[in-house]
Amino acid sequence: MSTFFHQAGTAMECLSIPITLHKESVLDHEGREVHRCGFKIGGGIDQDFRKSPQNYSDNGIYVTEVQENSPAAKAGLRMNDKILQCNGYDLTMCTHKKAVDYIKKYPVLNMLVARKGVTHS
Amino acid sequence: SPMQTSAVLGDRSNNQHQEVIEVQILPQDDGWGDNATALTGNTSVASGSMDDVSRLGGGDGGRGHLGWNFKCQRYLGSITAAVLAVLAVMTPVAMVLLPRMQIVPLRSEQLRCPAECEGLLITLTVKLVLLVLGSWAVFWRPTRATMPRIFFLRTLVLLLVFVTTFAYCLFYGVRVVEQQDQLDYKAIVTFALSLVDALLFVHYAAVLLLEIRQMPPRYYLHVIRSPDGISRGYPIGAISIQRAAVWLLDKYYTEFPIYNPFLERLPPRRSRSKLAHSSSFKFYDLDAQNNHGSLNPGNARGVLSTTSSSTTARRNNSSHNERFYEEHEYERRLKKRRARLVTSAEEAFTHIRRLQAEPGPAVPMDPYEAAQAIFPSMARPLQKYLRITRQQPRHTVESILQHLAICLSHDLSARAFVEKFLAASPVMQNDKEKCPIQTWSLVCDVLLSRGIEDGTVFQLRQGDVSLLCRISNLPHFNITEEIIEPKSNKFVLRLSSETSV
Repeated sequence: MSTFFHQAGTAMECLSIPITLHKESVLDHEGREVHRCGFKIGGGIDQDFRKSPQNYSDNGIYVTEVQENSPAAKAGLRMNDKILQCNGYDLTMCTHKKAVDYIKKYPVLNMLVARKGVTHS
Repeated sequence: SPMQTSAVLGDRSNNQHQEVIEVQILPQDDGWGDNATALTGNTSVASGSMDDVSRLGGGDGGRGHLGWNFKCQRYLGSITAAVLAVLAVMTPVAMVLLPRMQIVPLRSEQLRCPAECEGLLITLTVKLVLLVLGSWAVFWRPTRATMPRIFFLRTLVLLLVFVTTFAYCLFYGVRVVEQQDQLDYKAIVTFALSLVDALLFVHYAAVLLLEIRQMPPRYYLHVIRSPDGISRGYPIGAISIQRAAVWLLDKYYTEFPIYNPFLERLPPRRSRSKLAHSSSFKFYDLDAQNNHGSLNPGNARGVLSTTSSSTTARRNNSSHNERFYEEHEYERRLKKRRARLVTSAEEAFTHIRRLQAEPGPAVPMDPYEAAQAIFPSMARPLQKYLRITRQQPRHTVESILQHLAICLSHDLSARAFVEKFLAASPVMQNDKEKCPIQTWSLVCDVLLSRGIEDGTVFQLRQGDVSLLCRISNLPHFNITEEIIEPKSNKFVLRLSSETSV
């Protein structure tokens, strides 16, 4: 349970699901080529988790939406997953913007994800 | 060079005559607006004012202008207008009455007046009454201004009335003289009725031309008062330059703050020495020392500066500072004194009670005595306030007592009493400005009877005060319709804490 009630900066030990996500290249509305993962994240140490509509319980980075037939869905990412690590970057103690930057940085994401009911009992 | 059409009347007698003759013609009624017999306080562009005399410091301008020349110019136009109007109204009446009074010899059969003829007579009377009433309502009023150039539209209307009346009279005369036998009374009455109709339409045209044409705003008039820089802007319609000047003066007297010539330079602070020496830049004037031939340490006040231009630059810097601090100090002192004045006035007012409200041993006083009784307790703060705002010449003790008496008799509060001294506007508040005639001279490049246009600039001057006016067009507004679908008024909650990657 402490996975989902984690105080940012304290040590934590938990099980996690490794997910490899290959981004796809699409053209955005202006015609430029971008890498799209197909999910939405919320949270961060600069956000207030008490105000989240999904009732998250700590300041970690959570997946708030996974679009259908997206690389994220194919990789096995599900809604309300908490991303613990992405390509080696620690997402349990970073701001929202930083998390977005880390995720957008590389075309392939190696993530460690915690899921309620799966990674802890 | 701008044509200065100033108000000096004496040397334009020839023009006056011509102008007067042109202006003679006048609209249809005895009540033409510029009829002079009911004059009260007026503003005039061309007459002397007592105030002017004192400001000009002794020119004889004021007295000389109030002579017969000015009176002539002021009243003659209106009087001739009135005369013409009366004539125009009397003409149909005369046309109808002359046969009856046997001045025009007609047989008695011709003078018979059957029913329709009587109906026409009644209509004639009613229309005449309406005409007189309408003219009285719109045009019977004191002249607001005496203007240097002809009032073009008014002249036009007067001409129209004159021509109409004259033509009808002519036809009437011809008919009556030549065809006496074939006339019948009904024809005469119809003729008179048509004259009255024509006059009514001329009256309608006069109202449109003189009153309504200038009402919708077309231009923007920006006024700047010269010595103190107060400015205002007004929308104005299409009128001639001289009438625009008169209109503007109305606004000036009712909206501009009072000009206080003594406030030009802020009252000097008692301790100027602190500020004068606080500037860190001290300077030599090398040229002066060269003139004196020797470097006198007594003259030197500080650091050497290489060029004289940089000294002036530094001097300017410190004078900006001085001005700022002076103004700041002045504001502070002003506020302090104002606070003291208001508190002492309020205290003084608490000593006075109405007779009914305060039973017991009391000497009943009338308002003036009551004013005299409580005035001494606030005299000193009032005097100090007036001194700091340089208003003492404007308020005499007598006028202050009168004002206080009026305030007391109407149950006004202390603050209402003090308002007269605190609020320095509008210009008409200044008792000294309430004289019956005010002279202003109008300066403009363009002929004054022309209409105002985009880019017209004219200036009104009276003594120290000058008002520079600039006209610009009001823009044409392009209003387009924008339709917003009511269906597009839907909202979705978007939390900023989510980002799509």
